[in-house]
Amino acid sequence: MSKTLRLTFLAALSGVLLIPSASAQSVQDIISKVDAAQKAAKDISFRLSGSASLESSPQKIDFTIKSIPAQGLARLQFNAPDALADNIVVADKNEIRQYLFLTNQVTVTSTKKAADGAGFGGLDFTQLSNTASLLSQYDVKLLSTTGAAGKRLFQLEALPKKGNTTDRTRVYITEAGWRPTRIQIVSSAGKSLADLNVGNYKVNSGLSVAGLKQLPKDAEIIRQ
Amino acid sequence: MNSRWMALALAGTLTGTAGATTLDFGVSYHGGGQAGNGQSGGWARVGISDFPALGGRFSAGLSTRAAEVGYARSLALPPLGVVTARADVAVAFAGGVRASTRLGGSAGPVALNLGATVFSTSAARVDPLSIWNFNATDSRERGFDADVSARYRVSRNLIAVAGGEFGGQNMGVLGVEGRRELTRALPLDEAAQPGDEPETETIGTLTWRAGVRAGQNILGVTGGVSYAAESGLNLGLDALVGPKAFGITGSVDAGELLGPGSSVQLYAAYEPWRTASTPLRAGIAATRPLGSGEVGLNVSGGRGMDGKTGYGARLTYSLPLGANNQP
Repeated sequence: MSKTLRLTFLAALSGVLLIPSASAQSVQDIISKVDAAQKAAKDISFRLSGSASLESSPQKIDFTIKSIPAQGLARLQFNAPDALADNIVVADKNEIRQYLFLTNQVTVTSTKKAADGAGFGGLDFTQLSNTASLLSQYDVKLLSTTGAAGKRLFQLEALPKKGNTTDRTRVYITEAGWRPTRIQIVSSAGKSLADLNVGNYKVNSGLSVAGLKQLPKDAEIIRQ
Repeated sequence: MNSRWMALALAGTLTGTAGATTLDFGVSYHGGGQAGNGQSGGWARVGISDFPALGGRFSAGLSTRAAEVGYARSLALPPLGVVTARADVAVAFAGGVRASTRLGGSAGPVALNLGATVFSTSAARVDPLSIWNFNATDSRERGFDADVSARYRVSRNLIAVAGGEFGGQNMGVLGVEGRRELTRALPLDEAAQPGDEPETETIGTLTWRAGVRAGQNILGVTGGVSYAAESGLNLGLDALVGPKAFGITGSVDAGELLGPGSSVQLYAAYEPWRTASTPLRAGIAATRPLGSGEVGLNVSGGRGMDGKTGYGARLTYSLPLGANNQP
């Protein structure tokens, strides 16, 4: 189950990047700049790659996120690990569709049902596209600022206000474009649990709703 | 009382909270010596599927030949997998019952599927065209069938498969499946950051299969290849060769040939080694959107173990209920 939790946390984290909020004033400035940059975007896509210690040993993690914020639509596609590669999750306001490569199946769950379903271990994929509420659950502080004006790199740290985890999430934000460049999850003991780089960050690349929702047509549909 | 409950439940569905419940209509005609014990005839059915109740999805149907009811329940665990269970019962008016159950689950690199059917009437007595489906259908009058399959993802592009079929013709299968994605690199975005990897676009996927099949009256090596293009075109060819056995199956999915949302599939199977199913089967199936639903046409036929041939044609219409079904 810890594997599920960690993975879903990573997925939720990608959502964290989309609309953050904070406590301190300087943090608030950074976040509102990021927020404004994101809100100005018709679509956003990026790739998260790196490693994460899902159980004990670090594992390669690589997935792509594509989002059309105004539609509340997000698509997550795995490249690694091998066990999850080619699996796709598409979440919008109404439903969450999951494509499973191994069995060539698509599961359909209503977003409402998924949000109620704490049986998933707290997993809530709706947060991928509805992050305002998610971020209100975190205390965020500014750890460091490096680089020259105009190209500064801010390191933010988020700690859940409540809940059973003391793991800290660190997000690096570049002033050039006000976008995230790296995400780390660090345990309270200082051990790195996940370290992911944000690559191929693009805004307004002309993503279409149909393109984001596309899943293999010959897959068996399972409605929950 | 019963009808009031149905009406209430239906109203709930129609308000759109459930989504994707569909009404299904179908008519068919079959002829030739193989079908319907040598008698040609018609078939008509009305049914409802994916009706949400009791935490799962119900389906029910009433045809000129049988009454059917089914219940399915699933738990999705994005992005890891899903567990599904379903049970179906059909009562044939000519006498006899078919009851089946299926359990499937996948988590990360592992998938398992178990199915069992007990029947005291043939599949053709419930659905006369079923014996010519692409996937072999047990055509016996009564008996028991079970199947099991396991898939394990060895690496991203390699899957090990093991399984068995029991009842009509006991056998086991063991094999591997691999694939190769045919991609082309996309030009780098002008906003690309140093270190960004060039993105690629898949133009098609080549899948291959190799294995062995061994059991009652069957021993052979199997091999197959498929090509799936992004356009929706899907070609597949599989063969079985053994000391005393030979079989070949092929299919073409033409994708959205008849417009957006449509499908066309052509298939043929020649499997003389099968002793409990129709060895020669062929058909064409097409669907396309019509109104707010989908219309389908299916023409199929085959030749049984006794050398008798048969054919059938079916027209179907499925209509999604509720407002929540827009793609």
